[in-house]
Amino acid sequence: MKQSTNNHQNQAGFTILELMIAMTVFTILLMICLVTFLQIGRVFSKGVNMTLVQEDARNITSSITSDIQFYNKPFTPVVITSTDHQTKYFCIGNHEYKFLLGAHVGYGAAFGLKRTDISGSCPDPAGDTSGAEMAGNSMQLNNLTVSCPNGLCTVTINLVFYGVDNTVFESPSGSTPAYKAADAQCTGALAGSQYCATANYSSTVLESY
Amino acid sequence: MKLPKPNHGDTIIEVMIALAIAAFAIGSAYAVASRALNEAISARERNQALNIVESQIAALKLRNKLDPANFDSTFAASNMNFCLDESASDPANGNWGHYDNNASPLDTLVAATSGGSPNSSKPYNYECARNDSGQTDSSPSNQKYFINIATTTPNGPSGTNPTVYAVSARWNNLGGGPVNIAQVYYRAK
Repeated sequence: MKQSTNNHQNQAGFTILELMIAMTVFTILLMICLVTFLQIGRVFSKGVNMTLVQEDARNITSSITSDIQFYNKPFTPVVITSTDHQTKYFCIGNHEYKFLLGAHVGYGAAFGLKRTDISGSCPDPAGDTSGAEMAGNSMQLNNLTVSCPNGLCTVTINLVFYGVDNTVFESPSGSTPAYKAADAQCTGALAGSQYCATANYSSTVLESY
Repeated sequence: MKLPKPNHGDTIIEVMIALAIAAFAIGSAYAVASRALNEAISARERNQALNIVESQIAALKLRNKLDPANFDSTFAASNMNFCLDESASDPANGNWGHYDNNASPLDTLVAATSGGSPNSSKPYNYECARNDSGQTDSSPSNQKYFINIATTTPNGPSGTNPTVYAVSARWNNLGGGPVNIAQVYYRAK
């Protein structure tokens, strides 16, 4: 009988103090793991976003430059503003490019940059949202210029990628708002839920006529 | 009656081993993600460098389509940002400036070897550096890619000696790694 009482006392549970210490240690460990995993996720998605925006910028410029290269006549790049006062467009060969500068794709914008097939004339795209979207989701076209002095065409593009938060950009030239600037680039530090990537790209090709 | 063997807790050694394993797993995951990011940046840099090189080749093509003298006078008037000395008569003579392709640091210039000493009023390297966006940038701290255009004249078939341009852009790898180079050859007619 005495034995059994002793045995019972040996199997006493944790005291509240022990429990609190253990839980504190465990909580700290969990927090460290959580922060690290969040950081890993952020680094990973930063790389993915950068690749996505770069790929899209390259696709757009190479689509335009190859149109210029295979267009067999002298090309005068004139970017026209549509009668809706927002859409800008230009045509090369049998493609029409129409775009909305500063329109955030997937966040209420009608489109970013679309390419449509045309034959002959270059129709005003007011109210027309048909065509293949060339800017991906969450992307925004801030600058697209084509200039062809002496038959040498340079296509310059600024494509940015961000979420709901548009305070993640800065403009070296100081134009405001920075997230719509033609030279927008990401600020150094990003807080938890912010994400940002930019592609500044220019490509030069010779006309083939 | 024999008492049951008392349950021992983990020893400090066991706890430390467990923690070390967890730290290793997290560390590896971070290393992988960080490497993926570096690769993305590296791919972006190479992409940009190749783009710069291809743009220079587009200018060379135009130079060969017009005659060189005509090209130089045309481009002297416009700010085209090509890595050509507008006053040079012929790049094959070395009378144009560029960045040394083998030197360190990257922004080491090659002086013109003929047609006089480097011209102070007209820099003999004509805008041969580019910033991160592939644009010319007057601030040296922003200059990242350095262009070199070298010419060789290999013996072609039946006495023709085509000029071959080796156009390259060099840049420092992210985080102080080795110098990267993107080079494309272009054979003029």
